[in-house]
Amino acid sequence: MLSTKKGKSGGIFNTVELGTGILLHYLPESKWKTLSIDVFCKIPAMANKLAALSLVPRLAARGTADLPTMQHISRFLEDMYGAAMGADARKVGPIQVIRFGIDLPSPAHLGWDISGKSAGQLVSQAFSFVWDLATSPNLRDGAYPQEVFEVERDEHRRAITGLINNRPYYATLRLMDEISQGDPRGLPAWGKLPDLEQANPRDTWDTWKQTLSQCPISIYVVGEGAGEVAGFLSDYDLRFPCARSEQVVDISKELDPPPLPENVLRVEDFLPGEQTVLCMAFGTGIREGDPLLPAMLFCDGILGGFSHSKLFTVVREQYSLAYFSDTIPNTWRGLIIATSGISDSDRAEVESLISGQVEAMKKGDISDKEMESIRMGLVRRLMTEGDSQTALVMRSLSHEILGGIATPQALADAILKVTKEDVVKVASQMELKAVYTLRAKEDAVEQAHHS
Amino acid sequence: MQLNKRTILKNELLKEEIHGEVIDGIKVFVLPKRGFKRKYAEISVHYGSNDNAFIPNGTGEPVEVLPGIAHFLEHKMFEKQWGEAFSAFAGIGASANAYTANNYTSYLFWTLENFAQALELLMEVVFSPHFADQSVEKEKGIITQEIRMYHDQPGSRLLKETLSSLFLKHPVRLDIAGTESSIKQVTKELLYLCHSNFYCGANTSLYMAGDFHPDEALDLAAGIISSRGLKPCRPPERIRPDEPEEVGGDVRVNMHVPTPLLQIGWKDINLKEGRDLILRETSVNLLLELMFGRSSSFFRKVQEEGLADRISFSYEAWPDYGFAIVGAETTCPDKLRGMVFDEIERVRSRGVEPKDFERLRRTLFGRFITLFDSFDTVGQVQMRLSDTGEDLFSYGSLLKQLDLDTVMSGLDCLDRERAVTTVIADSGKRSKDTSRLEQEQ
Repeated sequence: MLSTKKGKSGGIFNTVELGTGILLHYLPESKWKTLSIDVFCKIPAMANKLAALSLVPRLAARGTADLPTMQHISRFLEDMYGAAMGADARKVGPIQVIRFGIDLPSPAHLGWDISGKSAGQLVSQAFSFVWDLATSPNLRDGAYPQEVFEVERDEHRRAITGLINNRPYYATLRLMDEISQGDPRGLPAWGKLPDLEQANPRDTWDTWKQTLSQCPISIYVVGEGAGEVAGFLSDYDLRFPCARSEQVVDISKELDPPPLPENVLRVEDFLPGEQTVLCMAFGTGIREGDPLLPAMLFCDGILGGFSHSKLFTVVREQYSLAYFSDTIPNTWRGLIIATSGISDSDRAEVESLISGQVEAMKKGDISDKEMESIRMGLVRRLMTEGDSQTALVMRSLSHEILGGIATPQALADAILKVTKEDVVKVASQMELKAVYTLRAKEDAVEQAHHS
Repeated sequence: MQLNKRTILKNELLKEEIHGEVIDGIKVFVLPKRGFKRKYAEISVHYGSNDNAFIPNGTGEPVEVLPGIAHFLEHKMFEKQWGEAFSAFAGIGASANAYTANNYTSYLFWTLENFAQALELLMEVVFSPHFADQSVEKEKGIITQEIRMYHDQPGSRLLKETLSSLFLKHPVRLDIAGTESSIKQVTKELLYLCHSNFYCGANTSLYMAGDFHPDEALDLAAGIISSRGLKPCRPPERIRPDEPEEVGGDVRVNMHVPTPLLQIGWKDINLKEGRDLILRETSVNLLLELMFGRSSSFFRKVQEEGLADRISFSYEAWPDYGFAIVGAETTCPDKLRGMVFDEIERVRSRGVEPKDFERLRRTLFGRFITLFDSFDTVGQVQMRLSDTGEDLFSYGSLLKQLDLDTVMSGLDCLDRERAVTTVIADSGKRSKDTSRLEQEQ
């Protein structure tokens, strides 16, 4: 029995400390038909270990000690009424986060076809499965089986190189890669391909064991039955492959982003295709935790966050130059990133139009109508996070790691107080930092051959 | 679901209800969702990219219109005499969107507040067209970029090429957005022609979901619909070409992809209607999962050999066409294709394990339950089911009745004689296997 503390951690979740550096956040709520359980391991990004650690969730999904193949796992999930497993690696700011999770139909609604399993059994089996994914993979002689490792390495490499199939997403990744200029904090969650080639089954397991013994862990349980899971966990023996350290890694010391380029960085890649993707990164100097963050989100909204924002209205509707032209904020780096799919010959015109809209914001060219529609849009976006289990969990996890405002409601309250002067103040700090263009190569348009 | 008066369907265990009523020809559905903040509405017009030939009401003369016109129309419906509707939605706190599929065009919004105003605006978007020459011309640049965007997506390209080879005449073979050349010929007159024929009450459904009282929502819809004074109407007769049973040849697309993409498509000629159509769609999808799903022996073999870590599959049925597809990203497309065909023959001769079927049937029950967490998907499924005479809860009972014999009968749609293969690969790189497709050429 590990439970030591209980209470609200400034958010909407009930929080219990299950052990040193292990927090359970649970939210019993009957409006959903899904019970969602996730285990997140939070790891300061170490450049040479990113690639190997990003393989861990793939290897976990290939088998646990109790369910040694993916076929066993899949049949177990089907028996759990089609529960869905999730295992992946991502970055929240500079922190690598390895997730293991399960979404299962709420046992409360299975009564009509429960076939002998009690709701309690389903819930405990679901959690044990997730914990096994994290801590008890299928091993042979103390390492991942070599043949499984090789297949997963190949698939992982294929997934990374295949990112180019989604060109707008790939373009933003390349932009972030260039802007980080080799700094390990800016590397993507899967690290670097050469490091993937260096990884081996034994070292990868050893690294993961060590990581598990030291990293802070957050467990999230959301949905009808979350209270029962919390009760079950109060007596559950959370076993680790290596003794859990009494002192976990302090990730709060690792949060500074790499510096942005001093001058505007310009990079072009060429790819056969029909559409060029233009990505522009604007530094704002406003990061998570800054009192002006709500105004920075407002700036993003006015420029390109909505289908009534300046870029949509001007680049798409007024000039017909793009189907998509929008922005996303990166609150860890303090960036607003504009992405547009355009004809290659329109690059200079679109870049000039986007920069022109930023300049307009700096001059205060923002109508009251724009202010109010963006305010309502941001509040709607935030408040409807409460309808999504995933959105609530990701908001809370991001707060755990990066700090800042804890809940969608609190952030919406702050949005309500933002003035036009605040927005202009942030806009006046906006500075173009990088332009990345994934140029469609006109002389290599693909053709289909019908035999 | 009979909708001649207000009707309530209930599932006690799921604690879900769907309320419905026909108002001035429009089928209206309400899904009350206690505790949710988002309020959602979607109008679905039974008109899609496949409806390129029809006999306009009152003329008796068939007309053929340009590919992509339904999609073009969807884009232009947000433009009004008073301005642009996206901004109008934003001005009352709502976010709007729309999409065009092969058989339907949908317009939707979600909001926290001002639901009544947003619903009124949505009705105006759908039923009050305003097209001007200049704005029609302007839209061509935007849609050209949309076509190019999809053209650069290997996944979209794969399906498009498969369908265009699988179907020799049926318009499902055409791109939903049309071509750069077809959209250049679109005029406001053509848009008005299509709108006046298909955008009528009897060809439309409205779905609303959120934390509101269903009677109040139905009353609100009734007030807004009746204030528009929609005239009684019926949709035009749709013309479909006689699709032969044969299929076209295999396709190879040269495109910059790091790993080749394979897709096999089968044309189904055993077409159904009503409940039989839903039963067939459900059972063939279950059959595909039994053969190629993650718990199958086939998938285990594919994975152990490092051929692919994901196999996608689906079956789609409509009264006038049906098709199944199986695909993967794989370094050995030819080898994997051979394995897929062999597996179908193995299952045809040896069948499947009843316990595997029972496990997957249980999975379908679970998915049916969790479906209710997604407002929009529930609406899309309900509106489509209502056009077949079914509803969401009768679909639940259909799942209970599903048996292995019915599922196995779906094998008839996986006939090798009616299959085509599409491979997208970079011609600068060679697949690990020597592609038979290349040899054929």
